Amino acid sequence: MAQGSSGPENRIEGGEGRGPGSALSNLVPFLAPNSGWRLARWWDRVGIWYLFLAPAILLLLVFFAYPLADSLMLSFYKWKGLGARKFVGLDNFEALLDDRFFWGATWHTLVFALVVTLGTVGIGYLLATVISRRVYGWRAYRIGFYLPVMLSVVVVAALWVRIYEYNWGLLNTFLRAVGLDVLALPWLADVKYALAAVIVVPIWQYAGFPMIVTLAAIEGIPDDLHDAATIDGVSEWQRTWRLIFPLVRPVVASISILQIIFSLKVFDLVWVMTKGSPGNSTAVLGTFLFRQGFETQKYGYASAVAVVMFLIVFTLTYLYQRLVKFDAVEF
Amino acid sequence: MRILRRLNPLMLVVIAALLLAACAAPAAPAGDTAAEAPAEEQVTLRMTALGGIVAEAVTALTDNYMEENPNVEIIVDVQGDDMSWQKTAPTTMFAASDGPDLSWWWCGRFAQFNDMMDAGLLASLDDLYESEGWNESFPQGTLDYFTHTDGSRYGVNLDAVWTPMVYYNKEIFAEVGAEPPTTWDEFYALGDKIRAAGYETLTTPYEMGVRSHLPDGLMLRSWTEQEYQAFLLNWMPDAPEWSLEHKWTDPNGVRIYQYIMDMADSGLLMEGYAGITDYGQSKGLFLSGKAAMFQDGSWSTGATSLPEEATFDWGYFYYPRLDQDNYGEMGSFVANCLIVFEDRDNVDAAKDVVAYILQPENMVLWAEKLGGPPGRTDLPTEQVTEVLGPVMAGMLQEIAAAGAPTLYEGVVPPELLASLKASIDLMLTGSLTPEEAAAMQQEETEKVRAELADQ
Repeated sequence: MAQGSSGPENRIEGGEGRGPGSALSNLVPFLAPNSGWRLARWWDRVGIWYLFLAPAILLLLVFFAYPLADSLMLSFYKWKGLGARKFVGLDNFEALLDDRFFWGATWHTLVFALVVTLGTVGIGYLLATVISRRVYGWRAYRIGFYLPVMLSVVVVAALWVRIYEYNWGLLNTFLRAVGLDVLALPWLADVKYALAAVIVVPIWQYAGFPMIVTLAAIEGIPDDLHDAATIDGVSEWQRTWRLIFPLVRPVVASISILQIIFSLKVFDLVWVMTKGSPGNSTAVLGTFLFRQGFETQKYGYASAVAVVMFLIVFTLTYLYQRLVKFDAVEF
Repeated sequence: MRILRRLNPLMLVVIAALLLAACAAPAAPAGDTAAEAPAEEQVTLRMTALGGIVAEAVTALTDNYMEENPNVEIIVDVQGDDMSWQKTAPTTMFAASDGPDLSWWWCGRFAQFNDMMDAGLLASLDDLYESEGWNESFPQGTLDYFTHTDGSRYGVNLDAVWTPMVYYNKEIFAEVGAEPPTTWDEFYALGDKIRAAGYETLTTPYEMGVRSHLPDGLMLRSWTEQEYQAFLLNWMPDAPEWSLEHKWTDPNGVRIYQYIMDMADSGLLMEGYAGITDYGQSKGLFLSGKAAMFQDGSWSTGATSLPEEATFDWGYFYYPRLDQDNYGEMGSFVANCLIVFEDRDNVDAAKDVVAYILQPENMVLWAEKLGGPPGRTDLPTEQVTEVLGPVMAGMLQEIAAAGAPTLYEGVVPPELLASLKASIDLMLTGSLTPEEAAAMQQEETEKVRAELADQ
């Protein structure tokens, strides 16, 4: 089932399998004798591709590698953003391990990432399946469910703050109007409900993205497979989980990884909705980092948070990639 | 490509260098320095200012300045988001070599004013304090506030605001038969009465109102002047011995937390108060007539705020006194200021603009634009009263009578302010008792003192 990659003849010269000792001299040909001619030849054959790569690499170095390295360095210092830095070794990390607000934020971040990923990808998959079966109004659903994705997170967050408002918000007003007063709760003001209330918002907003991507994958499933399943007399439920899901599983897995990464980095949504309140019940690593860095000006400590955050995202992504197979499906 | 093949790498480098050199700007002729420039040389200054009424006031005054000084161009960079600007500018645009020449700013520790002074980012304004007579124009408290540990002053106050105060809807109060409370028991009873009539009680943004301005106001009402001063000092490594005797864990310290807890438990704070993180939302509940009371500061009394926005008759009152020997009813925030940056090309020209803005007639204009009282106290009373309107004028008289102590939140390091907010937050959500919350704040106070001593 797995598709092979393109053959070695299509690879850029200087890659693997070019003969003994060829990698370095191919990559840096002007180190060898007759360097002028070799450089021109190298440029003619592969140099142009590196030229295309150069802007991206440069941007990565300037805006990713350097800040990452500097952030790592800064995590070993105490610094208020101005003046001299003071080297404190691992003190920031040690303090982090003793910081209950950090652990609280870490737990909330993991819960947020897990539930949001399950929610968006799960609902997105189900919506895609429904639309792919061409139910009545499927075109409207396809557009309608994707619309929230196009909205700004800040706008959506501000909107939901007003929906959740206890006294006059849309949700509680509706619940009271239909006689469900008992369910009219202080959604963002109570530690018991606040995180759940926040989590609902990205699921509502972003379920449309996995839906569109999964729908494209489902549309790619050949009709004869569906026809064969129909002839075999499968139910729609069996079709959804026994036929469609296995065939789009790699796409679902990829989307899940992206969603986990996005969710682990959440900041704007939580900041606008609750700022991590009440009682730090919605604080995530992003808001914790922001408060440490820009409210209390503990830039070294905030950098330690950033480093830990990076490690968490990196580890989870790595583990996920190792554990989940991404083999493309060949029809 | 054949041509390229013939090129030696060294030649490529030489050609690139020549191209870069050709593109570079021509060097300035020798001797053409600023020191030798003629007096009327064209000067361009860049000034940053908070958006809204501050930017309007700054623009009005800088326009006047440019009219009187045609050789000076002042570009006002209006900053839209106060909170992100406040949090990032000192370490970014202000610290950059091509940053602004001068700025409107919050000259408080929370906005890194002290860090900027320590780092040598700001130009001393001592000469202006002397030449412009500012030493006699401001109250001693303001002068002390702006005096750095090195004895110099690096900022000058523009206006003063007070907090907290409770604005109330007179029509709702009349409907429920209520009067502004004079005791806390009356206040609590008011909450039930208002709620029974179908209105919400007191609204305020949770972050700024409940966790920041409210405790500050209660401190002023709970503590004597000496106690209050002690808490403004006892986090410093060189704090006087007498200030260290006062602790958050003292009964008066715990009392602050207890009152906030009681306000929440008694229903004085509106239902779902912890979910209101947005200032506009909080104010909107009051302006729309849904909430009877709104806790805020004197800035809401300004010309562009409640007087224009409220469609009902409104008034204000201070929180009831807790006892008779308390320090005050509200705190004064004098951190709104102008600063000039060191290591810029036009420091003297920037200082000249600051001196111009601070001139008495311009401060009256400033007060008019902002709808708030200027920091200078030597301005003609009639003029200031005329431009501020009757409510603010009345408030000014009350302030003059009651005094206006510096706010705790305007003086302490950001770590302590963050800890105060966190301890209140944890208490209100049931994680800490008032005693434990006070102990948390005391622990942070001692930690900050130890860390500062270690630096």
